[in-house]
Amino acid sequence: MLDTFLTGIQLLFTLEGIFFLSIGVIVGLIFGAIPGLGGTTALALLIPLTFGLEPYQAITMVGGVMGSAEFGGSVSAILINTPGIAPNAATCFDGYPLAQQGKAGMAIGASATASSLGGLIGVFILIAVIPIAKEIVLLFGPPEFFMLAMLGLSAIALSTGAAFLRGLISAGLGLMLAFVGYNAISGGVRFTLGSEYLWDGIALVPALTGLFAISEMINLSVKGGTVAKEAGAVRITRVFDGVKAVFQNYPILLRGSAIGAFIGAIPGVGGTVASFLAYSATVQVSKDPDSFGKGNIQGVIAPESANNAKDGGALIPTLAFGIPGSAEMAVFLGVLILHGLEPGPLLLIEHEGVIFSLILALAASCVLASLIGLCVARWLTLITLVDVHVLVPAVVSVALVGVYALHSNFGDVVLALVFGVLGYVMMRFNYPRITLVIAFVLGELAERSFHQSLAMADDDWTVFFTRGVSLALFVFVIACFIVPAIRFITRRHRMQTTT
Amino acid sequence: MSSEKITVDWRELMPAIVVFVLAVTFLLWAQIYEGRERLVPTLVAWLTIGLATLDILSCSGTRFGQFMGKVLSGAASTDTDKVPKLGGVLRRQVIAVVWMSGFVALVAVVGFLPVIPIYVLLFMRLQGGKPWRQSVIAAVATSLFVWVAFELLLRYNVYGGLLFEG
Repeated sequence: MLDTFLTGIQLLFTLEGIFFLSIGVIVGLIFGAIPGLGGTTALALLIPLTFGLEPYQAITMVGGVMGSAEFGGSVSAILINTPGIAPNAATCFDGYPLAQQGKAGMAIGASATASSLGGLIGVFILIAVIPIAKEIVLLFGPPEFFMLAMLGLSAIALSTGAAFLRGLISAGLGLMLAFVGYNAISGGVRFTLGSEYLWDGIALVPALTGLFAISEMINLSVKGGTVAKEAGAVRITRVFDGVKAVFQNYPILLRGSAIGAFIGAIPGVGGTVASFLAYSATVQVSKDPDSFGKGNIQGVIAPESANNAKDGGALIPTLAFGIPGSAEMAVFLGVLILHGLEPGPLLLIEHEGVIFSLILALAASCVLASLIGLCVARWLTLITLVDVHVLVPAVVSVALVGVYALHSNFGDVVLALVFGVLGYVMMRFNYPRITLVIAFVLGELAERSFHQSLAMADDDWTVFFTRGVSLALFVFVIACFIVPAIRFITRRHRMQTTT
Repeated sequence: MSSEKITVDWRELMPAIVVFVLAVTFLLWAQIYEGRERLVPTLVAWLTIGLATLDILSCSGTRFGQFMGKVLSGAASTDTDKVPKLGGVLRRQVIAVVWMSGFVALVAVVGFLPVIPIYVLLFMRLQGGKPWRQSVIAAVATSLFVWVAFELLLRYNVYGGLLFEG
């Protein structure tokens, strides 16, 4: 194994290897930063370019894209509240408020460092887990998926800040939106208003672009000025404050990475759920949950580390069983097959060198993307000082073209506009968007796995509590409600005794 | 008998009523589907109706409403302080939405590429009061970026509008 590892290093650190890795990283960063595109689109477009390449060259380039797209997406999330890809939406919650406070450099520094370290941790977990991957993946059935979704939904209660009631109402609206389209129970469609466009449900990327980017652009148009409220506070030194903050908050980095790798390994759950769960978990265990959503650097570190670590996890079922856990992995599977690499247990034995090239490329791309990010952060932060009357039309144009490009469907553009107005109204009337998004992302998974669980257990609801992993997750759900309550009571008691 | 004067904050009450109506509509709508299909949506709709009712009560200005507001709503969420309150800015809010809706409507008819430079130019000139030169440069730069990135490099067929694409 060590020999193969060294061969992988030799292949990667050649002039050719670094060249293809760099191309992948740059493409990934650009595609990640443009709303609506993302790593999957980049991979799909790169497939034809890999035809004439050696397998390890193609895999190196692909690894470069996969490791860098997430960080690219976080940059636009932080600077203009526009998640480049769906999993970056969780980064908006605290990244953008930091940019408004003139700390965009700090947020980008934290995002770059958390992304690269999270990616590396994800790769280490991948290497460690590959031998026992099958057992882990098979532990997860519908009841476990349901409890996982419940775990995410339970975080809603804590993500609402002071607007508890309206936070729950937003979550209700998010769940209602999640029910639109095909349902996994009967295969029929629901709540589509007779529109074929809605048969596939409400598209996530246009909805998120609307809720965050378009609504923010409406808000900026109304307010005027610049994104950064304190224009003089944007300084390059903040970038290294962000790097430092990641090391100071290493438990959050480790927890986020572990959550990301774990969720990534479960087929069908994906990076969006991973980053939201990591964010929620950080809010739940924080001693100061009220500071989240207002520019807490931990709210950037957790989702970004999870986001990048999930790639390592997602490769486990993809490489070991040929089960792609996400659209990005499905495209990646296509690249493997195109180059004569049949995914499955034999792949790990017959093409160990190529696999290690991929793993190393993934690790190196995370670091390279972050280094590029740190180098250009100085100029990127200047975006927050641009007059909104210049920024708004440019962002709206690029965001809506990106949204259209995703599925070449004009309905997505209209949807983004509708969600933009909805997002602004929610901001205006104190309905937190965080809870709507969490519920919207997890709603379909929760309903589908709920019905699947009951179907497999002949409507016996105890199925959720008789399986080890499901029961453990249920305990976590309960803990999510009890622990903060206990902490609140303890704090109140302490305050009473001191006064 | 209490002589307490009940004041109702209609601006806060309106969205609560809208949510209530939406939830009731959703509940009725869910009933057209059969058993399992409507189970979870019905549950969610009932919960939202309950929560919206509490929200309406908390905006009602009664003593109970004030109590509910203190217990459940609080003063501000993470998002609120970013947005100016309704009143003097209503006109600007409407104008901001009209600009974007107008942009999307025009794109629907003639497509992105002809509309983007016009939108950027007009927005900067009319809304931002920027100088002609700066507005033209921004309009050309944005259009060029979209054309180079999407049409030229990515080979995407950027939407051409109903007029040109049928």
